[in-house]
Amino acid sequence: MKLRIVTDQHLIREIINGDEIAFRHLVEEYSKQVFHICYAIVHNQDDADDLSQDVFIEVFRSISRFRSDARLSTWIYRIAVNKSLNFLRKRKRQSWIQSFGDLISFQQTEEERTTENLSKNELRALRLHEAIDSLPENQRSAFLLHKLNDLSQPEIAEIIGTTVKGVESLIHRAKINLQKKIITYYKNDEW
Amino acid sequence: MVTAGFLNSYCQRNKQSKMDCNKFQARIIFLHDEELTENEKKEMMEHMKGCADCTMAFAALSEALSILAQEKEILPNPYLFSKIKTRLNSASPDKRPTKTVFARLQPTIFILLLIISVYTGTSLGHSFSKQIEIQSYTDEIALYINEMQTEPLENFLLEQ
Ligand SMILES: [Zn+2]
Repeated sequence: MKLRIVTDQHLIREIINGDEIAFRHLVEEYSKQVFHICYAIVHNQDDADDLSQDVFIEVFRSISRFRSDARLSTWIYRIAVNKSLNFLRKRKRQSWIQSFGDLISFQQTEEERTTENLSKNELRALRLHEAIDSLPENQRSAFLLHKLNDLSQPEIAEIIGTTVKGVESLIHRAKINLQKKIITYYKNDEW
Repeated sequence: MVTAGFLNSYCQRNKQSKMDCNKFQARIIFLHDEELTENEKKEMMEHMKGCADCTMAFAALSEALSILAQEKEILPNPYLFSKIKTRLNSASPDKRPTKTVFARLQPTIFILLLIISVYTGTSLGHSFSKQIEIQSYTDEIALYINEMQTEPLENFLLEQ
């Protein structure tokens, strides 16, 4: 743990001094986790790739203002969570306008267009993502960081800004809500 | 012959099994994630042996969680660093396509269009009812003018 903090501080200093190799090292070290955080929230590979770029660009631009007492990984993952959630909020607003447009022009909605041509597996993935998206933001972030990024509860607590007990409760509630949704899909023959 | 005692015990069993299904389905995810005690796990496995519905529900949930596990295998773009470098070197601070003015104003335009269409609808309705009123008024005037045609004004100035 001590070694990790020293390494992170060294890395940060080198990046601030304009060392490209140090920045490349940081990107390589965290790209997988950052991508998985983004992908888990936005469910699309291209968007997750674009968002990963945005995350590291922000890291590069504001690393000089990073507080050295915090964990570098926590700070990077928090940027990834916030960028992905913001992206999703924007997309939701746009899809509301899109469905309003579809409604007044009597066109099929995005949902109708997509579910028609999906295989069973694709439909199940879509249902799962719908179920995850319907979770409150804090529950969703805690659950995904735990399930997809295998992060510890103290680390998740730091990222989403709550206590370890709080994370435990968020994950528990997320699991119960997700379970309810999936079983409802199954009972309604929508799974 | 079916006795009351038999019916009672049948309903009791049915109620019992119904409750078990609800209890089971509220804990499937914890069974899957191995977060139950040995006793709870054993109880759930026992229930599954005799309940096809709960077995299917367990399969559905396991499938959902396996989709998430598969998503862990997707890897980020191998050219991520080059892309970041290109964007950092380019003059524009953000290479992602910026929204056009129209896209930014889209919600406002929608609301304005809605208000305009409602306003146009109501004013059209109003002018239509006014037109009917004006129509009946002009009809009355026309009647007088027509009468004047049969009895021209200049005739009054003439000697009878
Ligand atoms: Zn059952």
